Amino acid sequence: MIELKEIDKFIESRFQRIFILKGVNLTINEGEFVTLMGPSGAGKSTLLNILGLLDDDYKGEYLIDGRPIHRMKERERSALHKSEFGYIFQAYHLIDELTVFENIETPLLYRKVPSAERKSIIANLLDRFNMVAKKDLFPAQLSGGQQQLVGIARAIAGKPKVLLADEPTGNLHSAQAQEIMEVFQELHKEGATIIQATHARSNADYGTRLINLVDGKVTSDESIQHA
Amino acid sequence: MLFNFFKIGFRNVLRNKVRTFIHVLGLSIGIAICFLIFNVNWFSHSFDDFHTDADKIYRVTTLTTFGEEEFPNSGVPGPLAEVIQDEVKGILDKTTFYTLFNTMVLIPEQDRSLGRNNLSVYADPGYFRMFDYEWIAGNPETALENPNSVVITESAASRYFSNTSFDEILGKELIYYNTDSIPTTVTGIVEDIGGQSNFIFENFISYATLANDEIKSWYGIDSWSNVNSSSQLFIKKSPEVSEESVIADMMALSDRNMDEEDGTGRSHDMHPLSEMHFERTYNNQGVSRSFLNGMVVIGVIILVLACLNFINLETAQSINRSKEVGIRKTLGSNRFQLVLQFLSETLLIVILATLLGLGLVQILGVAFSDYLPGGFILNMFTVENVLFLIVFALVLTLVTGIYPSLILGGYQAQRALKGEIRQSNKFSLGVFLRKNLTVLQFASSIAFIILVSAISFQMSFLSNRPLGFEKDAVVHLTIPLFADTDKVLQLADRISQESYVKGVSGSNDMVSSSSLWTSDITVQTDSSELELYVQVKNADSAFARVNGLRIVAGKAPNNSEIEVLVNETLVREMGFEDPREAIGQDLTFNEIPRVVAGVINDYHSRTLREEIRPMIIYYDPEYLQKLNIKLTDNQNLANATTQLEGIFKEYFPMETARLGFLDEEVERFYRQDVQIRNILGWACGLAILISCMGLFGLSSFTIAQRTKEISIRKVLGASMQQILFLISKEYMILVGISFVLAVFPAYYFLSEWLMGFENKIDMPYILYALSGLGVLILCLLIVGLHSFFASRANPASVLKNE
Repeated sequence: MIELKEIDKFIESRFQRIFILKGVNLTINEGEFVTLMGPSGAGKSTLLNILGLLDDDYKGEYLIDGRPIHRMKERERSALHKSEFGYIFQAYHLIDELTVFENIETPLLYRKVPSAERKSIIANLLDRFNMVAKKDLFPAQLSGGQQQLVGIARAIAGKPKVLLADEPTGNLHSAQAQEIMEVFQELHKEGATIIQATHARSNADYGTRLINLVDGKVTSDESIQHA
Repeated sequence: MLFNFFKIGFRNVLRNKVRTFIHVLGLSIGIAICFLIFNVNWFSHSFDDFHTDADKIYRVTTLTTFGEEEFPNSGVPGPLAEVIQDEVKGILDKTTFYTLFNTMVLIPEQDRSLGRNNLSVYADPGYFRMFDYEWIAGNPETALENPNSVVITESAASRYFSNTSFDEILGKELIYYNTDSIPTTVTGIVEDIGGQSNFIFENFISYATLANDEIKSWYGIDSWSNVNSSSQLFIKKSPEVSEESVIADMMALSDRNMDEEDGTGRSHDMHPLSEMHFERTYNNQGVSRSFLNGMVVIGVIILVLACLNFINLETAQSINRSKEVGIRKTLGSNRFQLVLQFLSETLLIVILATLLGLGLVQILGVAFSDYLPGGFILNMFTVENVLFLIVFALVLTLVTGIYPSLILGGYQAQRALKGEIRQSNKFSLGVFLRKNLTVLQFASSIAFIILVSAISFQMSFLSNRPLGFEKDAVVHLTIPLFADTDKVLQLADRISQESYVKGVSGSNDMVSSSSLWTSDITVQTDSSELELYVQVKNADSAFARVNGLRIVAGKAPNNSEIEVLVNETLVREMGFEDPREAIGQDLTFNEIPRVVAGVINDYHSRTLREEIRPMIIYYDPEYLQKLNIKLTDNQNLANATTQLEGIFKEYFPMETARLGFLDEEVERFYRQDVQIRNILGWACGLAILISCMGLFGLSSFTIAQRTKEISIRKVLGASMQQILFLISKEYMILVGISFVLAVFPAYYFLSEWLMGFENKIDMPYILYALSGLGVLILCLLIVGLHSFFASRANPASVLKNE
């Protein structure tokens, strides 16, 4: 469903171009759980941003379901952005002024979901992540792991086809990280396409495919067999 | 979604208390002032708008020119009023009426007098067709047809004849006494005029009463050449003719009937009824346009300052909210939704400010009550006020909120989330704008301070200047018009015998007043005659002593027609070096030869705006209008005035005693200046307050951003003073630029204002410098306080977080 052809991303500096991504070719099918791995500065986040339509300053072709992104109108791209993608961040990025309930509600508001339906979606999500009692708390009152759970709930509330996760466990200790990864695995089993960027090799084991990035180039692309 | 916006807005408002406080207080001050000024304007514009066809009614005015000099007059020559409808095309209706000054109402039936007032007019039947009155009794068509009829208002009727039904009042006798008695019969009663009106009259005597030419001549309405401001003419213009054509017709009519006089010109103009409140009115309750406009300018300045604060602080703080923008954008918000969200937060603050502003209006209303037009009452919740507040709040939200919202909405999601949005060293519109807005605020504060201090300086200069006479403990008593001279002299004599009275002097005018009587005198010198233009007063020999004037040479005259006093200026103009030489000089005034008996010191007989004119004081007991009474020291003034009133009543039982104090009269000269100073003082205080709040908020934010830099500098060994200087330097430059911007408008306004004074201070440049310095110190104090705390922070704890 996702196809990248010869993607270049660079910064024009005074004397030379500094490439962040160079000649990336990638095809991701529906239902895959892809892990992007590589050292700092390898271009993992940049690739995720491009995939998630947050960054359109690049060279090359990007097709979703065969439709070229770079030739879409702003309105179309924005609609696609809302319907296809959910985001999960390393630093959770919850809105501090909103409660747990309201944070999960926000993407639904932007998708103009009617009030009754919103409530039932959120209730299900809260239930699923065992956070019903915490729905009126503010992010600052939660632990990191719980905040990331809210982040995931928020990301999947809009029923996106693809979940993009940038270092989802980077700020968590190992027990919490494991819990989050199990949630991902579960979501994947339910049919979600997940693309995560991470340093941790252990996280890759939850996925189905491992892509190594070094200095903006894909160095290896292998599938992971589960026992 | 909107609900969500307001919810998050509300939480932000609660969370950021300093920011909310600054915004709400600043904006509420601006809103309160604008609301008050709006109401004053609305009030002033709502006069006489309820009459049928009010937009077609005009007042005809006259402009007479003698050579270079122009004499505008709100009245018209009597004959014009009589023939205008026949001679000028396009006039649907007209009314003329003649306002009577100081007229007494007497009720023969009850043998009662009601004192003098200015509420009576001679009016023609057209008056009640032109202006809307509700009739209670009498026939509107015929009530004013016949001579010696009178129509009175409901409130007058119930005052004159209490407990009598309106129908019974018809046919009763009333006598009006101006300079002669006018017997009348009540032929109609109308309700008091409904609504705000310039037409304050209660008694409408039929114009037909002015039947014969002798009476008309007495009232000065018999000839085309005479213009009397009492003779008022209103016309209702047909929409088919233009104002120009009516004016042209009137001018032609006037030209045909005027005798050609050398250098005399005459023209007419017509002013819409709606303008009347800003021109000459019948009780001086009108307001001047320039006063209203001045208020609007001040209101707008204060409001703009408050808005600048808002814009400044919000754009500065927008960086703090970049993360939220980034999240919302990734969650699917578009720019428009974000702008809407921040605008709704602004609206919330504006609403809070409006609520507080409505409270502040009450305080302002009390503080400014002296400067508000008479009869003005603040009704908060009228339709127009509610509309005004709603529209105002929305406009204010847009004006203040749109720029910060656009900035916020424009952040790029992935950069905002990475925290890459920082102030760069490159040119940034936001920073540039912010500095300029701050400069503007300081400039207006400095300009206000310069103005207020310079005006106060000039005022105290004036009040400390020797006037040349003593203004304390002098009471003036107005003598009724055409009172019997012997009676007046007896009254003066009687008063002078009171123990608390030091001296009494009769005169035509107070020693210093706003009125001016000028004439020419002929001075006989050795060879030729010298014609001089002088100020004249009519006063008896006690005048100089009672008012504390010094007799420089000669003696006080002995109450004869021949002997006069002159002042030193006149002595100089007559060509004498020494006042003593002028004693015994012959001169002719009013065709009577007179001789100089004494010379008085030059004193200020008018405001200190004017120079001292040459003056003579002669004596003619026939035309005394004031008794000047000097009280002994340490008198209870209230007591003395009550007793004086009692004595006056013994001699003039039908009249009301009108007493005043000389020092209050003198103060009245400068009332407008004091008003200007006080209003500017308020504006100045508010401007400083708002600017300081803005600076406080802004500097607390910018310094918080520089905490890291300060800490690094401290680690590298910078001292406290060096850090304070580093941060303050920028603000010193800002204040410097503001000062330059402030000087010009302040200088312009001040020199215009000072030009009006003959006795004035030199342009107080030192005040400019002091004002600038004052603002600089204030500014450094605020910034210094912030930087002090910032530099006190322990570098270890600041840097650890990075």
